[in-house]
Amino acid sequence: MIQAVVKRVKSIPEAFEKASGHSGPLYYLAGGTDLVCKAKDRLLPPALWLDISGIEELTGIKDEGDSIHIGSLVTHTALSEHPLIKKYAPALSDAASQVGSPQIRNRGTIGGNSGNASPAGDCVTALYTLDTTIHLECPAGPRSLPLEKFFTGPGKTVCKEKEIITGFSFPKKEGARGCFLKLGQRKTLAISKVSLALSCTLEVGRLHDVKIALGAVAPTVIHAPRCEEMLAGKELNDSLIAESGTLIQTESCPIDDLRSTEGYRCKMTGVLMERALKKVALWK
Amino acid sequence: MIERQVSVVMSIVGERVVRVDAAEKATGRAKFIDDMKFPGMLHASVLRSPYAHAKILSIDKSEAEAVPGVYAVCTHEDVPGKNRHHVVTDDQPFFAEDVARHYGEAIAAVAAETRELAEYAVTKIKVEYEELPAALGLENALLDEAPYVGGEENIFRRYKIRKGDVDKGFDESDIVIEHKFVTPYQEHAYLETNGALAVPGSVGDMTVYGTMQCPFYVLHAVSDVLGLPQNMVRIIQAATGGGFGGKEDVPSLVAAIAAVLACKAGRPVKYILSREEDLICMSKRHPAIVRIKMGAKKTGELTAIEADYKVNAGAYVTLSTIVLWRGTVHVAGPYRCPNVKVDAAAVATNMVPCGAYRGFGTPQVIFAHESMMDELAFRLGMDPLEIRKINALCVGDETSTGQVITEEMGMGLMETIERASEESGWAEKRKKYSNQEGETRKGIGMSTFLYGVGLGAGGNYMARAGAHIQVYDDASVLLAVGTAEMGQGMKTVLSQIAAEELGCPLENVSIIMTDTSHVPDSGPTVASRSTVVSGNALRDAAMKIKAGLYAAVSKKKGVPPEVMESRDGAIYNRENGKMLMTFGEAVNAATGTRKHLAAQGWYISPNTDFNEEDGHGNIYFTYTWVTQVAEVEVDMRTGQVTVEHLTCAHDIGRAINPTLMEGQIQGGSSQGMGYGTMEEILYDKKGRMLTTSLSTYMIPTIQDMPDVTPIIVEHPYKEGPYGAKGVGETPLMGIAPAVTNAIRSATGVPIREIPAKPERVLKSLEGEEIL
Ligand SMILES: Cc1cc2nc3c(=O)[nH]c(=O)nc-3n(C[C@H](O)[C@H](O)[C@H](O)COP(=O)(O)OP(=O)(O)OC[C@H]3O[C@@H](n4cnc5c(N)ncnc54)[C@H](O)[C@@H]3O)c2cc1C
Repeated sequence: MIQAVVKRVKSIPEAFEKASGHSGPLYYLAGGTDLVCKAKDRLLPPALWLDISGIEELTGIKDEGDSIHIGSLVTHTALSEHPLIKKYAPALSDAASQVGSPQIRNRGTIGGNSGNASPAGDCVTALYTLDTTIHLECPAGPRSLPLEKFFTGPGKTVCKEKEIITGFSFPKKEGARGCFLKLGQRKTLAISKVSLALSCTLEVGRLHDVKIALGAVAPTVIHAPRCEEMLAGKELNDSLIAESGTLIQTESCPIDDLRSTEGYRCKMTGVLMERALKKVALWK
Repeated sequence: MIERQVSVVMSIVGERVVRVDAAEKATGRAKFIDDMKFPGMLHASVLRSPYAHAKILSIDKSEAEAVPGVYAVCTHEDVPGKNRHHVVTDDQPFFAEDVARHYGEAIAAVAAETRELAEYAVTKIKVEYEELPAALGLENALLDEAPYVGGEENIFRRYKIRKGDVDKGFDESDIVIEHKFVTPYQEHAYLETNGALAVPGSVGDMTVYGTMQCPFYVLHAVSDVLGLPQNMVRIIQAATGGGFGGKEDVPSLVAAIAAVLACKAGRPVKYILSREEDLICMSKRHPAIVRIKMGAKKTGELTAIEADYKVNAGAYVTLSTIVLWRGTVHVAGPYRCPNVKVDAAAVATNMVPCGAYRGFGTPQVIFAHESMMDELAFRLGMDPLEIRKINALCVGDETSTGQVITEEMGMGLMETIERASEESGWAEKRKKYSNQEGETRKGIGMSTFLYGVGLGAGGNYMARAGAHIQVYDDASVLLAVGTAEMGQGMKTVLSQIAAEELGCPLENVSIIMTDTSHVPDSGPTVASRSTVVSGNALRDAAMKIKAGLYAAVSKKKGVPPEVMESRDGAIYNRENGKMLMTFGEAVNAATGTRKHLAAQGWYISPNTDFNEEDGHGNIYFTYTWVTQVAEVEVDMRTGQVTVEHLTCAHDIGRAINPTLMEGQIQGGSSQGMGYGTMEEILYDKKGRMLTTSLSTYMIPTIQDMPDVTPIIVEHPYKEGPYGAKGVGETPLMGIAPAVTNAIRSATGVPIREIPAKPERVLKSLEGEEIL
């Protein structure tokens, strides 16, 4: 049995009001696709669940001039279909379209994907390549920080008690290219064994603003800084692609687990790197 | 004896009628045990061993018993009858006694007002264990220093086949090859987990509802565990959400626990396993190691096959000896070979007892023999299709057990090979794929096999079945049979057979869930046997009823019964084709003259035999013949395999309902593909299962499913109802080697261990010699 008292809240102040009257474990409930599973597997203590899925101000994708803002309740389905995301964050729409199954994509949210803090989180991996800022709010007030500073380990974040993820924003770049590639144990409904997101721009055949993130190969999603640096400003050709595929294999520290092995994961970062670059080279 | 009737015109048999249970299943009205409730019903939870092997020093249940809302806490000491699950031997206890022999073995159980309360109370049972060294894995259990689990030096049972002289056969051959093959566990992953609901009666009797394939096995188990005579136990099958073999023997364990609790509490007890519990302690397909040596002439003819087949049986014998037997007699495949030597052993380990799963010990050996046939073809520079045609059994040939294949059995092997290869475009594709470059490559591979229908000589004494037909005076017809509907469509096929035989409209017929109080012991619903045995039992009953109808019609119309025939909902004069009466009118006439329009049917399968000394015998009354072709695409850099198309030709004698037959082929293909490419159970070093959910135990999704082209081949079996044989298991069985042979065709690299997951395929591609 899931031991939880679920209370629905309509606004952030109401959430804080209910939260402050409560001592003991508290979870915010968005789509529930991680939270309910964990509770069913008895991985959570009995707790108060504040259902935030009805909070209007956490929804929506907005163009804010220089940047795009994504509310934490935006679902994977919405991310994969939204024209602004497709245009300015192709890696993110690509990642969102590969999460779980249609049912999971309809329910699961980008806030939950971050709150869950899995190193295999597909949207988180894509967000790493966008210079993303994560916006948080607790009863003491709001704060914002680079997404990379948010995660500290598997399932671990710097989120304070009662803090809500309100949204994400990233700077708009014209001519953004990017993609997300993942390998799972089957074609769908599969957690990534290894994944790679790439965002960049390409000007007269040269790569700029190169951001690369790897999922499921370290305690958190990580960047591939050596590759990012090596590729910056370079002409995108076959030898560069091959070089990057070799270099990136030095940038992760995967483990053996039920889904795959260290050796395979490491090698696959190289294959995914090459394929991602080929994909952006053929951009239409 | 059933009258042989193969070539009559039929109106219901062979039709694609809608499943008789389609509406109830699609609308959610079908009653599964979780939908059932009884006044005062309690819920059960079971304490299971956290160790693979441990002495049980003491069990203290006092704290659990003191939890308010708990009505019964049971251990082996509370078993009123025998604490032994009888399958082949009596070694498995329902509740562990002084030793727990596998992770997840039942130790104690609680019945309480709610499931949550029962689960909580279980944590209050205090057990003192002394952990013992465990034999984990087939090869480990055979080491000298391995702890003893059971049988003779950890071997529960051996079988052998000796035919001809293999040494001579290898001497006469131009080429000899030898390889080792490894196959994994496979979990059934039925939609509905195991469960039972035991309801005590007013006179000390017990009724058990459950999800199951073999109601009579459960009858025996409940009668044994409660010490009740069989006439005080009634087993009623609830709607059953899939079985695939996983509800053959283990429902007896589940029902026995529910029954012991219900008996002690004096209230109905429902026990439904969680998915995690079900994965941990219910049966699986046996992991196996098969070593095969084959000799052949340059021209491809086999001269000798020598095989060593070992299965990991788990901690108790359960069905392992018969699983092993079935594998043993199928090792040589559907091929003509004068010299065969097989040695097989079921190995005891401190792991979950393995049992039945579609194919019953045979997919393991098919993987081996079909990989070997491709190896031979490769080494001889032959087309894999040709080498199979050259060696395929024909009418008049002997199998490895010396059984001569006859026309009467229904022999369509060659037709399956030809139609599967033609339909799949074998020749062109092989040519096209012979020289590929690039990161993704396509391949095509095949497998061919035979499969004995029915229990065969391993279960001769159970090879019979009963059926009951009752005709009401409004001409509606009620059927009861002893085999079980578990989603495979048995109720529909048997309704078609009964309607055809009675000559009544299909709409008149309904069939009840299997109930042991209605029909005598009909053996298990396994081995692809229901259509043949229950179908024939129904025909037997239907003929008795027809005798009553014909007598009544004869009296009214003055036509002798001998010239009558039933078809299309009426009785006709066969001589002039004139209709005499509709089925309804005949029923009216018969009830008016006090005819007995209810009958029991009984069918005994033809005898089969097996000589333990040399493995010779006429071991099955008929065989299903199958050829499966797989087309794959391999990603050479990631090792990922996409199965793109499967072409599956099955000679099943006669398709009573082609739609259901195709459904079997589609579903079985998916399970076969999972077995070959992704499904894997993992344990930690202490023998604790790690893949305890369907998010870690991977089965194919609809997105992984390839297109499947089913091909129905019909070489009728003379004894089968309307010529039918069986199809329940074969669709799964040869997919794995067809896929790995296709991988080889794409990449040139053989895969000798399944599942062919990307990590493994990539290692092979990189030249790592894995086996
Ligand atoms: C079958 C299945 C398949 C899946 N496949 C994938 C996959 O392919 N890729 C992938 O990345 N994930 C996958 N997931 C995981 C999950 O669907 C995603 O992580 C999803 O984005 C979680 O979102 P949610 O809204 O459902 O989160 P919830 O379950 O509601 O929450 C997850 C966690 O985040 C916290 N949280 C949620 N919202 C907030 C907020 N606004 N502020 C603070 N904390 C918050 C919750 O308290 C909880 O701890 C899968 C899950 C399932 C069940």
